Amino acid sequence: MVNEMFDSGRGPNGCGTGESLVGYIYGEMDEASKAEFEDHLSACDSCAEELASFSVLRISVGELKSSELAFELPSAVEEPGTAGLLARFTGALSASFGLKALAGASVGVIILLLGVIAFNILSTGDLNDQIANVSPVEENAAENPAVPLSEPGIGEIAESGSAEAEPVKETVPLRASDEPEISRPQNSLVKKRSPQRSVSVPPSQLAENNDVPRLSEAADEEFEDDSLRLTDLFSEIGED
Amino acid sequence: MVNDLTDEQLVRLAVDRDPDAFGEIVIRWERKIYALCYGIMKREDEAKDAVQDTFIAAYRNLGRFRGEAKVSSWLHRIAVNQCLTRKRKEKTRSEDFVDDSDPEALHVFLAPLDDSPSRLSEKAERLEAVRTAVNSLPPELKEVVLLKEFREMTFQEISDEINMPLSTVKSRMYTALKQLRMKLENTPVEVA
Repeated sequence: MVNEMFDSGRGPNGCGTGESLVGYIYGEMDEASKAEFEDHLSACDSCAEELASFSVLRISVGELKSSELAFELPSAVEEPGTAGLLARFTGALSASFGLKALAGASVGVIILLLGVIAFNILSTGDLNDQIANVSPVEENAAENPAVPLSEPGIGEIAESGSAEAEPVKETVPLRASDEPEISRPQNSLVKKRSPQRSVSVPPSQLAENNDVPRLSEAADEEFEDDSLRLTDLFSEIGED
Repeated sequence: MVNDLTDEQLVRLAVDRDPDAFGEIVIRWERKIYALCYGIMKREDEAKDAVQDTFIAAYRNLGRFRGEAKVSSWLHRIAVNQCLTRKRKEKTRSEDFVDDSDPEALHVFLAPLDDSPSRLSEKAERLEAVRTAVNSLPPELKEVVLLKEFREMTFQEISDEINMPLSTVKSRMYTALKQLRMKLENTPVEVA
């Protein structure tokens, strides 16, 4: 009977239980055959081991079956375009810093960028050139509505990874290589750091941007204060 | 570090009543033993009980392990016997049957499965590996696997469907399982 039952299929150790093992695993055996196979199983380590490994396989395949839908979707995953990248960056930032930190960082970077642009305008005095420099960003934003003008701040932080210290210093070169139009604030930053202090922007031009005059006025006041002190000093020295 | 030791070294330590050593054996083998028990019992709760019985029996019989066989074979043998004993008991048990095993005794050893990101990632990798392995089977084997596992047909139904003898269908399934096992040899086991 045993030989008759195990005659087909080559089981482990050549005991010829292959087909019986399969029938047993899938519960497709009559009671007599099952009892006979179990007797064999209790004495055959190889069959027990094979039954264990096949059972593992069946469980894994069962998992695959239950998650089959999830495996049908890879093509639906968004291509890493600009919007996709921004979404990833936003997600990464949300995970790393939390939404509050993300919003704060975004606002900070936007304000900083506006300030840098404003200072650049004031320091060069060539407003037409600055407008020409800035406008491509706006044009690009208009071409790609998925990238609002304010979002480069988000992208910059995300691209710099978790760089918490001096995010602007790290992000400017990255943006410069990726999107040239964003590189202009870098020039502004350099100019801002230069010792050049001459400010000769006509008030009529400054009035076009409500944010800019505040910064420039503060700078003017600061410069005026310095010059007054020097004047006083010189006059004091002259008197002596 | 017990996780650097071989199974046989762990058993020797466990014989000296080192609980960490036996705990490591359980961690290494509980999932495969569960699969074996599930393969015999066909029910999750019964399989889990059989796993507990297996490790309790192994712990109680550590002194009898001679090292002539592999620890895995020894555990498989115990598991098969525990499962078959349970099945026989099932057949004859009455309504007032009382389980004399002590499941609590094993809880100290069984490592709970968590849903950590790393485990989920491992699971995704494992499923992808299984999917790839199934796809890479020869067409005649893949056909049987898909009909059996994914369309859940009986071997007789498959035999009728593809017009092949029943024994050929079973033989192909056996060969397919062996090939899948070989392809997934290095894929980490995660069941239960």
